Amino acid sequence: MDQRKISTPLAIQTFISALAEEFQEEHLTPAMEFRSLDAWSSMQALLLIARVNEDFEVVLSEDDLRNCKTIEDLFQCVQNYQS
Amino acid sequence: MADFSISGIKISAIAAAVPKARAETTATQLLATEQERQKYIKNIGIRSRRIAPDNVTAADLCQLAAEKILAELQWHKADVQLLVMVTQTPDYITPCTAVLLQDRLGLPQSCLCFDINLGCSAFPYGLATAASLLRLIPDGKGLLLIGDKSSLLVSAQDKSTGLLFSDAGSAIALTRADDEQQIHFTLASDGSGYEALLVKGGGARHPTTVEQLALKKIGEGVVRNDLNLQMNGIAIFNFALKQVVPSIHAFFARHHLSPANLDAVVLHQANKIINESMRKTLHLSKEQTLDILSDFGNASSASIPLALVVGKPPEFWQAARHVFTCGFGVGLSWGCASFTLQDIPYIPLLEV
Repeated sequence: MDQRKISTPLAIQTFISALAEEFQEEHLTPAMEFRSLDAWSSMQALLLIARVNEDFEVVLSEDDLRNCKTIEDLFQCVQNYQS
Repeated sequence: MADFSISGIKISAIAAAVPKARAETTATQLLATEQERQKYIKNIGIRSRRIAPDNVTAADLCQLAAEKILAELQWHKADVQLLVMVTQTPDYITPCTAVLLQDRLGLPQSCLCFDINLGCSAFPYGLATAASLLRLIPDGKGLLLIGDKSSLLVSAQDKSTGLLFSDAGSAIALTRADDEQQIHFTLASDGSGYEALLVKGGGARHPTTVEQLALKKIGEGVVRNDLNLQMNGIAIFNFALKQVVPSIHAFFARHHLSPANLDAVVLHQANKIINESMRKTLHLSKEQTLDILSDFGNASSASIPLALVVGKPPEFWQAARHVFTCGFGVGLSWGCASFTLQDIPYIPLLEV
């Protein structure tokens, strides 16, 4: 049973939609710094990792999060893992 | 990875004991608003936890569970030749708790007793250790006691741990069986991750000082001292997905286990985010995967036996059941054990 998704390049809009749902923030843009979002907390970090794992099969580490500032940084990071 | 099977030993009973006193998440001051408290309950999955009073230790909870088992199985105490206690919250720094319990339970002096210092991986490690020793003791019966009073270790002002852990004790009876009975194990360790769950002070590396008692603000809502448990949730989550899940996949493949053929899957109850991510990644159904987080939180070492006791109804214990368990956490240490439960009395949860 191979449940892996067909590997098409991840669109940033798909990524942002997933995050918008997880953060319950409607107007996310690539340039936004995710740590300055109202919803950001240590628990939200776990939810982010869970969502990215579920949707994109990437497990973000503590270092990954530390090295990312914006939502676009996170997107790039996930893409790097996928390629 | 230590992979092995032990034949000729079976689990004859499982009992668990918790304090009556509940700590409700809705009543906490650690989260400032009702909205935050509801968000915590929804995502972390913990509505209430059990907290032992000052005069009740993990050993007391385990003793209660053990006494219930001795009565239920009508064992002659003289036959108990092995007592293994797994805890991180012993009654004393020394001597070990198992030896104290030999006397308190009225077990014979011929009984082999010792402690193991492990947390969330306690169940597979304790079972493997006790079962392999018991195989060498002709006609012996064994008790595996697993419990922690984690409320002792956490800071009441640390929202990362202060709303997570529950106190519990458990007892597992082990007896000899025919060689067709097999318990399969995989046990593993990664000490490089020791800081993910750590009590820094009070041991030989950083002997107790007055300074260690000083509360320090580590971050927003995280205030603790060096004798409190510190936890890095992201590191544990990464460990669960990157190291534990692949071990479970390998274990399933090695023993030709298919999730569909398992009557119960018991993962250590870490928190809902971690447990749900593991469950989905492993393609386990909600029905077969036990979840007692809501009422019992993270009961540390005792989470797996506690989950079996409170998560399964009396009917479950009346037929042969195929059970898979996986404990993972502090160390970092993790392990899997699979076995068949058969002819086991149903022992309802004990509360003190």
